[in-house]
Amino acid sequence: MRRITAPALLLVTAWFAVPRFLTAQALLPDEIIRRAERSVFPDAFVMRASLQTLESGRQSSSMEMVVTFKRNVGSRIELLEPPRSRGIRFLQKEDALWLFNPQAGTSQAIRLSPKAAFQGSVFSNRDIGDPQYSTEYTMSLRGTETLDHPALGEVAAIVLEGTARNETVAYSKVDLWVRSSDDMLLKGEYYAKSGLLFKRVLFTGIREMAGRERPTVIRMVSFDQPDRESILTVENLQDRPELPDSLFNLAALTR
Amino acid sequence: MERSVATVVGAGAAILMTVLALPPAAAQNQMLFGDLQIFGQDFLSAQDPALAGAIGLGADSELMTGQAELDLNERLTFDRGQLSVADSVLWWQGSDGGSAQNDLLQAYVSVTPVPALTLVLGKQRISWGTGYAFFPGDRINPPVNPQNRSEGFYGITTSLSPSASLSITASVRFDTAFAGLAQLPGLAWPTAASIATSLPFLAPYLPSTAIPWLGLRYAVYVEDFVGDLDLHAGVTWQWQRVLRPTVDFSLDVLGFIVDGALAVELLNSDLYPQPGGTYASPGFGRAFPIATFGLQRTAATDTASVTATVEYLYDSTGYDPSQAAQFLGDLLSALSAAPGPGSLSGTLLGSVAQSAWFESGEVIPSLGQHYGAISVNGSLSRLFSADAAFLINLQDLSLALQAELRWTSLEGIDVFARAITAWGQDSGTEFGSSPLRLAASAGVVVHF
Repeated sequence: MRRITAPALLLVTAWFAVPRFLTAQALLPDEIIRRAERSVFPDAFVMRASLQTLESGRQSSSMEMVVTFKRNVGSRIELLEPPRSRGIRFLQKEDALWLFNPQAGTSQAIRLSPKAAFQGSVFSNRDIGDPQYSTEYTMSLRGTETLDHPALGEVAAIVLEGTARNETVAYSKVDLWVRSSDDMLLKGEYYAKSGLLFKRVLFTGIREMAGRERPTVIRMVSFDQPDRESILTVENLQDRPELPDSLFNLAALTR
Repeated sequence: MERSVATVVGAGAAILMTVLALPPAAAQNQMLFGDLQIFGQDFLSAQDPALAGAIGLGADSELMTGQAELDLNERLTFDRGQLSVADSVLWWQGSDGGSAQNDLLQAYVSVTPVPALTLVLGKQRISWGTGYAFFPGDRINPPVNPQNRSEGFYGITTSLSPSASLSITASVRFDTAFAGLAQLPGLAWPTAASIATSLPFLAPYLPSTAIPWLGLRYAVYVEDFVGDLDLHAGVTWQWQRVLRPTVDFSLDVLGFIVDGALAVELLNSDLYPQPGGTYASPGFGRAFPIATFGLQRTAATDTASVTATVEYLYDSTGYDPSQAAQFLGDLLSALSAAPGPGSLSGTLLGSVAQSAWFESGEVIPSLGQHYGAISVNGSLSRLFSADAAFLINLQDLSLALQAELRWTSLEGIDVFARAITAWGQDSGTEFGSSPLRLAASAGVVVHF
């Protein structure tokens, strides 16, 4: 009986594991990253989120915002807190970023560099609006490994390696860990142009939101800013496929 | 002041409408925000009693005041539109008395019947230009007022946005037809006679009375985002007053934001001083090119960030600097005698007189021909920030400077110290002729 059980267990294990591995191998990296992006946010959504930045474990800044996003169109952010930033809006489209401050006294939006830090946080402007892994990086499959995730424990993960397609993106290379079972994005590591590891991002706080299980806490640490990290917490997420493209132009931003 | 009464009434009506006619409970979303500044200001003018008098100091050259300023923004969002109100109230108290001033900056209703189309009615501003300091093509938004406030225009705007990249905006400004024209010599509403002089073939069809609707100002503005290039083009027209086409662009080049604009005024109606104390405008038939070019860059470390902006302006509608002092004096006298919206359209000298115009970032200098604007903003540890902004007349090397230090001690409360000054080698220079010597202020800002 024991002689039969061990091979049987191996067979059963293989029965469940191999097809999943084959599926991962069968999917192109570009398809995996698109599914991973959608595991975090839908293709079009309105989200209320908070962003805390900690220095040496102490909160150095906190803000609340509403993010409106439509994939391959753009993203808008409106700050709700702190009071001094209330009403400030950002619009990001492709490689461009604008800021509009209704209290500045002018009706013009100011163009900014999307690679700059977002409001003093560890996140770049682009990280908040749209990391655009699938459009800005050429993805390749690095392999599979067991990831020690702070919330999920040991998880089988596919590792993708993304190389920047042009000079304008925020990072020269990104490594991304995607849960094998459902392509959920769990971890990322971002590299500077020098090749040095620059930032690490962890996706945790997994819970049901906008129709599926998603990570709702995104924690970013920067290796060139020791003891400093920023945490984006999704408080509310609405899947809004009907969002009009016209919401993402400059005329709408300044209204 | 008649205008203050009008704006107070306007603000009251708008707020009443907001609170009563459209209860916030009916809105999908309500947003109320703003700030309250409480500060003291010491204003030093030139030692010329005439100039001091022209800017409201009497014969004194120094005025200390205590001031409080409330800026209020309210936005109610509905299913297919929004109601937006921005208002500013300033109270000040000096040794010779006090006063209050209300500026209704914007109050409009916008309706979006279909996603790609927005209609806006009321007092409003529209987005125009890609620059930081200079917007040479913008003749639809009013210049900052003498209280350094960016008021909107009364009008109607339609925005069509067929895609996220492309939008087409058309505006009609009403207030130009009903204010200002009659307050300057030689200008009035167009009449059949004046039109017939320019366009004789229309004479048989024209009414015999004045035609105020010809005082309306029209603007069309197109924005498109192509690749990494943000490209804008537009034109503003008003009968016998303005005809100004413009093209603007901005581009991100390796982290440097580059912007530029080219406008041409084909119908310059600015009044130029003539011998004998009269004024005349060049009118149609002479092209006045206006061009800007700028760069902006942000550099940041763990705890500090610095943003530097440099922008150059060539303004051919400017005056010969030698005329500046005389013209400024005349204009200040005119200001104190008969202020009114639109009466100084195209110039910001009224704001220069109040010395605070530089703060707004929306500057269209009218004196001289070549200008440079330099702005440096820095922050340290998110507790301190420092801003400095210069406007330099590159021909006579006179300049205006504003500098501010700000301490962010608590969430929502800032403490600041600010100074504004104008300098020139002599009174023949543009900023040397300004009545301002120094305005220094310090106070507290409470954000809500």
